Amino acid sequence: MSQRPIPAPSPLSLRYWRQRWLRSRLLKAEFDFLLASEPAQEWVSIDCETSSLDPRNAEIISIAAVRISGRRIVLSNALSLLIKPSGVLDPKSIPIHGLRAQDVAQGLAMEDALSQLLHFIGSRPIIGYYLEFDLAVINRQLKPWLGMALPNRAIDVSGLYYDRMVSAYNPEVDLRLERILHTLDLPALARHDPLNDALMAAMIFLKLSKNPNMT
Amino acid sequence: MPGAFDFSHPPFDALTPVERSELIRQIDIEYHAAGSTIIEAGSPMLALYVVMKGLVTGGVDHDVPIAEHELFDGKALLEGRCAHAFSAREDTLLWCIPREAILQLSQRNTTFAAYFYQDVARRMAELSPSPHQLSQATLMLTRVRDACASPVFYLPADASVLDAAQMLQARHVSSVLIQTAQGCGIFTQSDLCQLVSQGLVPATTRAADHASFRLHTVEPDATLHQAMILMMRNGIHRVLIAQNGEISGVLEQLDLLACLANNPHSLGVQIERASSIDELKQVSARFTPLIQLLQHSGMKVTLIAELIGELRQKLLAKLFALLAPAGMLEQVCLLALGSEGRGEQILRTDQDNALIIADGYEHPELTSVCAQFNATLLALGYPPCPGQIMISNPAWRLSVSGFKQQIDAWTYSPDSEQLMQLAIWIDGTAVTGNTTLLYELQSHLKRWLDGNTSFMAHFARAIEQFPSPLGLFSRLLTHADDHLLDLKKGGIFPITHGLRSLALEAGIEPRNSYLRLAALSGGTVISHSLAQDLAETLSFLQGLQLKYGLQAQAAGRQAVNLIDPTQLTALERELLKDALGVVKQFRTLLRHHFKLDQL
Repeated sequence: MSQRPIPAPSPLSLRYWRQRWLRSRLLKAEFDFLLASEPAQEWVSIDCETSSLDPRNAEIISIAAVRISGRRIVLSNALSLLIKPSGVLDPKSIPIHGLRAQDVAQGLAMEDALSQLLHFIGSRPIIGYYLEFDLAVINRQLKPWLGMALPNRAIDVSGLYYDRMVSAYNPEVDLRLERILHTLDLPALARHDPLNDALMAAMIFLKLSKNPNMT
Repeated sequence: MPGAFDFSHPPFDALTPVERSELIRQIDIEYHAAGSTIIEAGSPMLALYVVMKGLVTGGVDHDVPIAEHELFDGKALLEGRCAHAFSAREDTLLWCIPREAILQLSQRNTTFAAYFYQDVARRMAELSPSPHQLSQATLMLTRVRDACASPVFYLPADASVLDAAQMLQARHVSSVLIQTAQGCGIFTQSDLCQLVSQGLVPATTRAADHASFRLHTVEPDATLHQAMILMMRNGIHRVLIAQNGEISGVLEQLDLLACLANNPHSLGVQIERASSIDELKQVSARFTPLIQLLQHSGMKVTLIAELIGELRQKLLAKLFALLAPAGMLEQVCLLALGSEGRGEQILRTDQDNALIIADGYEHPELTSVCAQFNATLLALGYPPCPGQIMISNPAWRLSVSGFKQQIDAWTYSPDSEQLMQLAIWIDGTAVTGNTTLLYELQSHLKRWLDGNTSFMAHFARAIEQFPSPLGLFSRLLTHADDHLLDLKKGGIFPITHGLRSLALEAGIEPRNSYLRLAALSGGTVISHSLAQDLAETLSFLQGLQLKYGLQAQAAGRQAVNLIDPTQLTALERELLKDALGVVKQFRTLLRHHFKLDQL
């Protein structure tokens, strides 16, 4: 595995112009670090619990992130935040995440939480399970405030898993988390604790990306 | 925090809730694909690893398995440097706990720290699961019927105090019952004392007039505790044991005491006093409860072995003395062989005995005495020796010159069976009879050995007979097959035989492994620290043998040396690995010392 830092994009590349365009949109200059080059061998696995299951109006009520460095999951320095939602919790979502209105009332304001999250992520690629939903919810909150969505590369472990498993003989891949964990022989932790979910995504990522024996 | 880290396994179960939450904030996770190296030999050891999932191997020969919930490597962590490499046998997830965190916790939590002690001896001594100190409590729950009560003796209503005193004296009891028309009364030593001190004349005083007719009784099913409470409440020294009005015995305070102490001493006295084989059978039946009690009370296995070994040799001696006609004992010497001879056998095992007969002595009953001896032992629950090493077998009942020839044959062209017979013989201890007969044979062997030093290597070679069970152990740990681990072959035998060989070579007299070890410790072969490791290892293995042997007996099975490692506690498994590691180290040392590769 290469340890070289990834070089800054050259002015001839599309990436250079994308970074420039994004930088021009950035409303808060202190978050310029998001647009730096990716550090080698570092990733961040994230997971959110939300107030509803519809990304158009769901609000984040808790968010967790854990860094991966090489083959190590840096659990000792994980981020785990509780956020005060602006609206009311959808009663249907409460049994899933187990957080009631009085629990989240202690949480951080959305902007504080997002700021901590962005500092934690930096310019690292983001890992997650069904990341699209989490990113959609985060970006909906982020855009009006930061001027842009998260610019980081996103790696969905269910996509990695699909690519690894799919074949002409096996066109239907079961992408349920339990199934993935079982197939990869990874421990299943309690679900719907965002840190556990982020941790499981991180383990899946390591197993799929760091194992020379898997075909 | 994610609750996935499992604190129920040693040493983490020793941490307090506060220490646990501190620890969990410092843990990371690492992933290693099968076949990859986790730590290179000689690299700095910055973290303690606990296997979350998968299988790791490490150690000098890379054959020590580390399975889920187990950790590596305590020693390397303390030293800060890892002497041996570790690698992932399967795809493995590891918890990584920074070295600093472990060192800090060790300073505060001594139980936790004990786990990381460098030397195996100290680790085993500190951590060996010691049963709770329940002896008193369980004893008090013993039933009255199981206590050793005194028999009851009756006198008629018109018996005099003198009659009563004579009966007390003749029967070695402290009370008698007087049968009168009003019912039974009890007349005791203190009643006697009282009336004599009042100046009454025993011969003309009726005992019934001074007896107590308020009898305190307990049922045979009552506990000793209840009996004791009854005595205390009424200020009395004895209670009668009665069921449905029928009196079956007297439970004296002394009996209660004897029971509480349940002292092997009283068993020894009973053996000495026994005047018939039936009495010996009764005493013999009390061995197992005594062993259970001693084990349960947490007495160290070496001490139990010493006590029981002593008692058993007494029993053998008494049995032979009861069977032997007058004059025979001076002409023969009865030997206990093998582990019984070393005084290391706790549970009943196969009979291993021999008889040396003085040259020229003959007795028509000798053969039948020997046959009866073995048959009685069988009746007492000692199975016959599968190798027929018993005095009923003429090959093990020889004259002094016969045994000399036998020793010469054992040593002349050693094959493995003859060497094992010699090994069993060497541990022989004189139990009764004329011990000079044994000394003569011992010096015969010694003279021969002094002139044939090359023989020692052949003798010692048996340590290679059974392979180290570490490999087997790993399969068991990971796949829970119904494979069993043989404690004797895999651990106890290599140690005892190694010590036997070294002791024989150095001319060390004692038969007991611990005494041999003490004599060898600090010498040219065994350092003090290895001697400590070996002593703790041997006693740990014997402790396991005893614990699981007793369990097997309680389940109605014959106690054997096979144990299922999956039934061990996690801590016992850990210590067993340590123990087998020490055995391996000792084997390597013996191989080198006796130059076994050159045979």
